[in-house]
Amino acid sequence: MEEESNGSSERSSTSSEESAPYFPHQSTDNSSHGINSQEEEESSDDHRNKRRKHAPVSEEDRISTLPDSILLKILSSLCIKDAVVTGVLSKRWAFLWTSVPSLRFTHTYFISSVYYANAVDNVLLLHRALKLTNFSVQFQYMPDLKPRINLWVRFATTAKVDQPSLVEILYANEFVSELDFRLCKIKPTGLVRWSSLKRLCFGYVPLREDVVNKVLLGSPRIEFLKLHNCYQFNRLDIVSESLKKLVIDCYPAEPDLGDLELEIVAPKIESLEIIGDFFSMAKFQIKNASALVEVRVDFEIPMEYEDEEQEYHYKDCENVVRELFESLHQVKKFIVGKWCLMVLSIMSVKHLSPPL
Amino acid sequence: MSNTSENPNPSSSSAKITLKTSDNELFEVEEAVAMKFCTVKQYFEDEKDNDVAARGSSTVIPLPNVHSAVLARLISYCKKLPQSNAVADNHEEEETKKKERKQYGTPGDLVDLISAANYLDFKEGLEFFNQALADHIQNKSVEYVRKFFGIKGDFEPHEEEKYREEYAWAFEGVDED
Repeated sequence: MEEESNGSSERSSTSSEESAPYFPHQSTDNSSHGINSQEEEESSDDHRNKRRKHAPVSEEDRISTLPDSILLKILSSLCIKDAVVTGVLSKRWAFLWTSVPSLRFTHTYFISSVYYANAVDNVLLLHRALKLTNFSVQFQYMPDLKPRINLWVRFATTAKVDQPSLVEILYANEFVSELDFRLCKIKPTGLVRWSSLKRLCFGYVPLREDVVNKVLLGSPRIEFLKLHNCYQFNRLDIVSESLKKLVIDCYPAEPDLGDLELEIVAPKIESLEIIGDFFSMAKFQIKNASALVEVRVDFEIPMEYEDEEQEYHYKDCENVVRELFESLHQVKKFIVGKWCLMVLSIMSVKHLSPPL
Repeated sequence: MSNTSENPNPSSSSAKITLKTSDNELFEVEEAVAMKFCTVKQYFEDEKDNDVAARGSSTVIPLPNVHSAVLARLISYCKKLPQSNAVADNHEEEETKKKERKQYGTPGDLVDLISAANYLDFKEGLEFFNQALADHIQNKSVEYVRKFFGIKGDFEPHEEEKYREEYAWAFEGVDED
C-alpha cells in the first residue's frame, strides 16, 4: 500500500539517487538542519544500503546499531528466557538483558520446580535495572521453595514493581497497582494492606467469600476485580466504595462443590460482566446494584446429562436466567450472550413471559 | 491514499501539515495523523507560539532523521492504526496481530521504522514495530536470530560454550527453524 505514496518513486530510482546529494543542500532552510548533520549522514547511509537488497535474511547487522534504550524495549516484550538467549548473540548483546525492566518467567520449559527456581535465582542475581515495571513468575509450588519465593517477593517489592504477579506473601504492599494471582492459594493471615492497588485478578484460585471481603477491605482504591475460574465462594457480598467493575469469568466444575448459588450484593458497581461456563449453577441473583449502568451477561450452564434428565435440568437453567434477568431489569446498557438469548427465546416461544 | 503534496484531495477539509524528509521530499499529511508524532506536535506547537499566523500547510516541518520511504510507511501505518494497542485477549486475536506484524518485512526495514518512530516519538508505532521485531527473537534459536538479523557472533567458541552452559535452561525448547 505504501508503494503508492511518495516514497516509492524515490526508492526505485536507486541509481540517480547515488549521485544526488542526500540532504537538502539546495534547500533554503538549510540552517535548521545543521545540528543534526552527522546523524543524517548515518541514516542516509542506512537507507542506501537497505535499498540494495530486499532479501528476508540480512547480511548486514542493522539491529545491533539501535541504541540500548530501544533494544531494552524490545527485550522487555519477551519473556526472560528469550531475553537471556540474546546474551550470546554477540558482545553487543552480552549483558543487555540484565537491565531489562520487565521480568517474566514462564513455566512451560521447565521439568522441575527446583530447576526453575535456580533459573530465577540466576537471573535475579545478575539483574541490575533500577526499576521494574513487571515481575511475574509461574511455577509449580513446592513447600521446599518457600524461602526462595520469599526472597523473590522481597526482590520484587523492594524494586517497587508496578505489576507483580502470583507470589505468596504480598499482602501488605503500598506500591503495587496491579496484581494477578493464578493457581495459588490466597490465605491472608493478617490484615491485607494494598493501599495503591487498582486492578486485581484471580485465576484458578479457590476463594472463599470471607477472603474476597478481606481483600476488598484492604484495598481502598480498587477499581477492577476479575475472578477467572475461581471457586469455593457461593455468595459475593461486594462492599467497596471504589470498585467500579466486576468480571466473573467461568465457574469450574468441582466434584465436591455442590450447586452454586451466586448472590452478588454490590451497591457501588457500575459495570458487571458474567461470562463463560458456569457449572452446576442453581441460582444467580444480583442484589442492591443500584449504580449498575452496564451489564454483559454471556454465560452458559453446560448440560452434561443423559437425555431423560436433560429436560429437567433445562428447567433449572430457565429459572436461573429468569431470576437473574429479573434482578437486572433497571440496567441501561445490557449485552446478552447467545446462550442466555436462546433460553429467553425458548421461554417466549413457550409463552412463558420472558423477564425482559 | 496518497499523502503527497501533489494530491489536491479537495474532499478533506481538515488542516494539513507539511513534513519534509531527509531526502527533501515533501509530505502533506492531515493534522490528526501528524499529531501522532509527538516530535512533530512539539515542533508545530512551538512554531504556533512563535508566529500566530503560521498555520497548517504554511509551515514546513523538517524531519532530518527520517527518509521519505520510511515516513511513507509510517504514515500508512498510522492511517490504519488499530483502535487499541491493548494486549490481545485471546489466542486468535494474537495470531491475527502477528500476521499483521509480519507484513513489515525485512529486518532492515523494521530497524528503519523503529529508528524513525523513536525519533518522531510515535508511541503506538514504536510499540508495534518493536513487537514485530521481537516476534523474530521469541522462541527462536540463536542461529536463527543471528541469520535473520545478520548478527555476527564475536565470542570465542569457549566463551559461547560457557554462556550456554551457564544458562542452559534458556536454550532449551526453542522452535525448529
